[in-house]
Amino acid sequence: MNFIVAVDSGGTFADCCVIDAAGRVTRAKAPSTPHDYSQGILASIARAAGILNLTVKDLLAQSVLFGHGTTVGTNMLLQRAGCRVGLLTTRGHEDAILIGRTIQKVAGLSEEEIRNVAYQRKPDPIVPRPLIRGVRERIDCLGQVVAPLDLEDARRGARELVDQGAAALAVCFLWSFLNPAHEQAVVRMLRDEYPTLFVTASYELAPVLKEYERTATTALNGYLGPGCGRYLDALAGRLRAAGFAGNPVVMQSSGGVMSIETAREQPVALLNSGPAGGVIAAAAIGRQLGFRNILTTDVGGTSFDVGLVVDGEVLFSDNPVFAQYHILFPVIDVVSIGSGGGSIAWLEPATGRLRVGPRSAGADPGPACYRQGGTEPTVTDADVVLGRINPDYFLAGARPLYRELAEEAIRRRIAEPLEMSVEDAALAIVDIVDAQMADLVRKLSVDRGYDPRAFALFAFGGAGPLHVGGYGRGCGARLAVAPALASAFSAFGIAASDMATVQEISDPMVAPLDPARLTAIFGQLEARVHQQLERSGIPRTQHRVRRGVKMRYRGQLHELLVPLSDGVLDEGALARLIDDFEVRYEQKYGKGAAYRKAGMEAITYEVRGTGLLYTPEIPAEPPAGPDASGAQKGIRPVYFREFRGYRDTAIYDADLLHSGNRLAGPAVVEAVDTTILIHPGQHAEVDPYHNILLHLG
Amino acid sequence: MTGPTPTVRSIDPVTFEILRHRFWAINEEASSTIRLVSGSPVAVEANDINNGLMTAAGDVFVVGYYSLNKAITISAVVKDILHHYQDNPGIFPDDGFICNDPYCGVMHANDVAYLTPIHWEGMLLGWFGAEIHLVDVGGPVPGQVQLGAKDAFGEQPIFPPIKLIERGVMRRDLEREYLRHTRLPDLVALDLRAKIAAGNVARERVLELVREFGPETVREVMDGIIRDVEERFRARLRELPDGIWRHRMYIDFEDQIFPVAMAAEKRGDALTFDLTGTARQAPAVINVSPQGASAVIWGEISNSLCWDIPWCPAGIARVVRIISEPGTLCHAVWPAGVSKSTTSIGHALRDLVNVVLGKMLASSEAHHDRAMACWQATNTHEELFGTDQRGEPFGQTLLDGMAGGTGATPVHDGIDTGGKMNAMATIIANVETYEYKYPILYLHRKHVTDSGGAGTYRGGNGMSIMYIAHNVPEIPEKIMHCWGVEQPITAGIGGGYPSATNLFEIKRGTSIRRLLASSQIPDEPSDVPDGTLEIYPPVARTHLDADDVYRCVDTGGGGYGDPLLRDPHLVARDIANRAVSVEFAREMYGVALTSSGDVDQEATRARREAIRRARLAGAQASGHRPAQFDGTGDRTANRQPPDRRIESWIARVSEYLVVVQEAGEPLVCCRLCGFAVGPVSADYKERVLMARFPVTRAGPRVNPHRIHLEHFEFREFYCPGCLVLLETEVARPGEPSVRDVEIFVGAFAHELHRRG
Repeated sequence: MNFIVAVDSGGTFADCCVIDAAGRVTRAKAPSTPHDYSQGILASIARAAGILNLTVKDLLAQSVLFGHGTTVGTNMLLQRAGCRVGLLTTRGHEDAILIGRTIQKVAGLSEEEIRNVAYQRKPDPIVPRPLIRGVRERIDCLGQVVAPLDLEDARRGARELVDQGAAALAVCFLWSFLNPAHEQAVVRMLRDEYPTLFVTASYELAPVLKEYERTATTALNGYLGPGCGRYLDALAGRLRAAGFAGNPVVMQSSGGVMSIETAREQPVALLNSGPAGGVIAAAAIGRQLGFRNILTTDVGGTSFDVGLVVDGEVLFSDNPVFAQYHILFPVIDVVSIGSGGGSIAWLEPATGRLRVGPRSAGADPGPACYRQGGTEPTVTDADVVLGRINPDYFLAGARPLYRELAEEAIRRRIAEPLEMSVEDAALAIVDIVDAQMADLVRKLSVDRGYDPRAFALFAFGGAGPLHVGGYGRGCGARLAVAPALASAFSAFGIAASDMATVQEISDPMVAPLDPARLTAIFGQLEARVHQQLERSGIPRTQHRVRRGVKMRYRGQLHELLVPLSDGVLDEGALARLIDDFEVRYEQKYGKGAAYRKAGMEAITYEVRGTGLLYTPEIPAEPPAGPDASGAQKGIRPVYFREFRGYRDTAIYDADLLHSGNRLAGPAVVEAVDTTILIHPGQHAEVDPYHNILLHLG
Repeated sequence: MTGPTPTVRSIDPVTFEILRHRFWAINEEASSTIRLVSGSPVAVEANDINNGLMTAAGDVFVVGYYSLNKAITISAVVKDILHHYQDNPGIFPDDGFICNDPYCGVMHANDVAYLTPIHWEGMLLGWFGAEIHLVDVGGPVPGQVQLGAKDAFGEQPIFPPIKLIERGVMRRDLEREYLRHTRLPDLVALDLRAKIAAGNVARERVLELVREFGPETVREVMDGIIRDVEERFRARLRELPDGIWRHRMYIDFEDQIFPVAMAAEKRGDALTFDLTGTARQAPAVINVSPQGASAVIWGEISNSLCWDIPWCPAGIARVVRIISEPGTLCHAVWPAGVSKSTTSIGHALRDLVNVVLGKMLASSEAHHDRAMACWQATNTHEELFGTDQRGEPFGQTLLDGMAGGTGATPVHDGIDTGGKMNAMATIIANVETYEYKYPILYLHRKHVTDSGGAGTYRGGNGMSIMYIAHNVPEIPEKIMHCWGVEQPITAGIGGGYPSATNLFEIKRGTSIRRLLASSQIPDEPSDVPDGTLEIYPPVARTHLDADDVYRCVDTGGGGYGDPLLRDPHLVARDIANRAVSVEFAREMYGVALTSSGDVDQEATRARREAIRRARLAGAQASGHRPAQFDGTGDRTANRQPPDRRIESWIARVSEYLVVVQEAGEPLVCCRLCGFAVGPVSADYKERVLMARFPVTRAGPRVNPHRIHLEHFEFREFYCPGCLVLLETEVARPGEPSVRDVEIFVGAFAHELHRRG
């Protein structure tokens, strides 16, 4: 048997997903073990193996691929648990990473946080000022040496940093992407003199214009390097000991997986790789179902993550921010907002108005109905009161919920002060959170130039399928998809991923572009892509490359990625590139928005490489007809606005539904890890892959 | 039943909350549209834009987080339209108006407002408005500052509201007329389209809401949002003490000094800003219209007092009264010019609100922790014109000046290079971005050590840049403008010092290129051999040759509290981080370190005592003798612990002064030593020790070239009991000190007594 095993290890659970050669998917969960994540990971594999009647050793020995998604990098950054990293940079520009283009004080913060002016701060620096050394050297915007490198100065600086306990060194000089000679010389010296030290050079990691973001990326890589390396080595060792003979791969923030060796060198690529898995999975399922434009919505306990798939492709973020640092690395565009099942409902003291969020009860104490000491009502409590969540079948009964505590919290904090019934108060909480999520989905897609009405809305995470009937309607989407794999969706995305690498370099030039220069640039980038993939064990025949150019009108600041054709880069190809830019520009910013008189310029060039991995086809189930009554497991009262009260509602077991079954709202479908709510007037059908397609009406 | 009562009873709270959030999302969507369509770096990079939604009467109920005054002034323009145009030319569905007349609403001619009404079935329901700062709208001098203008006629052409779009159709003749004046018609046309597109989006989305919820509900929510903010703002004011807080600044512009004064009087839930005492209006450039002044004040109040209240200027405007004298800098009378209003008097008003409300919060028991010393006061601006490294003409603004430091609070240091107060999303471009666009090469861009005001918590440090012309023989035209060069303008609070001053300097004819070729990178102009240093006044027009080194420093933030009370370990950390120099630590903080960099406790204690003794000597030398002071100052060596009376104070006055209940009038005392300053009705500044110094006292980065030191003096006020630094002040020699705080505790108590 050729299994693919993927484990997504997050803050609360390790989700395991196993795909066999016939494309059958098995999933299992185990609690995360933050003191040593590999325990939880192996426990989740053991559970999946158990379902398959195999031992862990048998399962892993028969696996051709082990894919892994981890939050270890994100946690290390958020908890400031990275190593002491020293920074060597161009003299006179030591403070660039601390100045943070001024915006650092509010980067990535919410409206509420920004408004709290007296408490705005810059982040605790990942490289404090004493660990930054300026080096005598200077290269200009044409790549010319203005001040030759004083290597002795760099040597002295490095020595001081190492003496201060630096476990990693980052090197970032101005304009090094145009002329890396100075960085190369310094890095050679460092690797020579400190062979065990973790050294990152900006020209290797992120050779892209914008020194603040490039420095932050390089320093962050150093900050995460030693710790992530230890983690990955330990995990690989454990997997080997448990019987896995292959090379594990790791999910990266740009989608696609990378080898452990690459991950050790580029730990910064691990940041945010969890949400990336969800978007990749949606894109993969979308391909199967024929959806090319997808909005992904992942509603968890504390966060609401939104991503986009446009024309079958995942979008990269223009300006990724981690812990208030802007970085320059290809990151799938997933925006996270603090809104979810744990969002707290409260009354504004001065006005008595009902508000939901942004504060969350989190996992601890969690919603009032968890009986862990929480007394503030949350969205989950409202869902329980309204009968939408079965308190005895939450996570397939793994966590009992206490309806009376949910009622008590809503009554005392919301219903009584507002002189409403508990049910009306619960409905109000749900309506408000649904409307907020709808507004945010709409805002995020419009910000990026897309109309949400043209997109299919994928809803996953524990609470996504429960609320999508509400927020989906609110943002104008017509069709929602609750994937069969629901909460193990990221793990499935990892299993479905190919090996990927993105190589970029900046070399700003004004149009007309020089074919010779571009040919040289792309030759170099493609060589790096092939080298990277081959090193990861993918033969050349399995490589796919795509070129792109980031362009803008002169004087503008935001660039637009324009695909560039394969093959010879002659004047014809470059003329087509310019035309494509204008077409895309008008698509995004509206007809007549183009500002041709300014001229155009190309700033950054990229090649995305994919190394095809073995992915089994998920089998389609032949249609079994529309009648779903065989899957009905009972009836319970659920509260709906349309009926101004409870209505006996059919409850279905997701595992018993078949391809082609149709369901008319009101109805509830219960799966082991999520609940799908079909509102009155909405219809749903089961597709051949057991996804539930919800027509929002 | 317990709990608060909803204020807007007619709408159910759920619908209200859903619509409130939706209005916010609609306004954000309109902002995105502007930013995506606009081609202007000022709009997109510096976020010098804003837009808002208004009621039918023109009251703004939702604004974005960009330049605040731009979303507030649109209200005045709509009110002007409603006042003048109801019958002729009329206000119809899908009409669009433009206006850049500061006397009708906007801050200055470069901010062109676009206003479009939103009708439902022929009935006016509300308005959308947007402003973008345009780089050029005509006038004798390119750009914003009309140097040398004698009045408004010597500045940019201005036009009152004009109906450019009639029922959805743009009048071609009027658009041509509009674009005729600017040197950049393409850019201006693009920005106009950006605003029109945003207006269309906003109108369509609001009408969707009307279709879903009905016009009555939508209208009620619009009014409800304003009433809501008004109520919450009044509730905030009731949490704060009653009294008057004052501050005075000086604009040193060209060869003149213009005082700007502000007094904020708060009683119950009423708040008045009185600008009496501000200089007579200048002929042109630095004045502001009363509408513009109000917009700045309403906007800045939100930064200081609305940390948990949505930013809705109309709600604030209903509570706040503004008093100003016609014919003054802050209340320009036609035809006074206002072309630099935003960055001159506009900045001064912003900074004054920051300081008077900071002092108000410092007097508060409930929100003491939120008292902010002044954030970076006005910043430096520069414009470069010439031929770039590609041989093409260029002309643009360098925006590095926006990265000053922010003010300290009673619980936090200010933020180093945290930026300015009136636009939270301020961002500066990368060095590489500027070097690619303009023919310059930066020698440094760094934090300025010792530039943040000293204090128990220090102000954030400001930024310095140093660059040379590069890959061109020269930059022929370089315009620099700011103020706050001779005197520190970014004030500290509660004994905190002000921050460093702004500075422009050029070292001409140096051997910089040879130096670089030998791998030497100078840190400061003084490290560059040869050449002569030129120091520039606040406004200058010059050039940069190939061997010239230009350097510019921007002010940091003000400090909070007496620096001698700063935790010495924080000072040691600052030294390690190069935020503070060893000399500054010794002079301002009285902190000495051991050779290993740890705090030398013994030396620090001795040094701090010595500074206190020097304070006493300084006060005696200044000849200031408060009535009840015996002149010995013995208590410095032998400080008394506060007596019990002090522990039960009934009100705060400022960081160290509190009010205690006496048999007669309540008494102001020092909360550290118990020294009785005097009755609450008296000005404490007349009853404590005061020392006068040159402004350079506030630190080595304050007016380092000692330009016109005779223009200003620096005053320090000490507690006669323990010599703690109570407050600092910049003033002109001989001018009376500002009574910066007056607490109404006595009057209040009296009133209570009468009622009881």
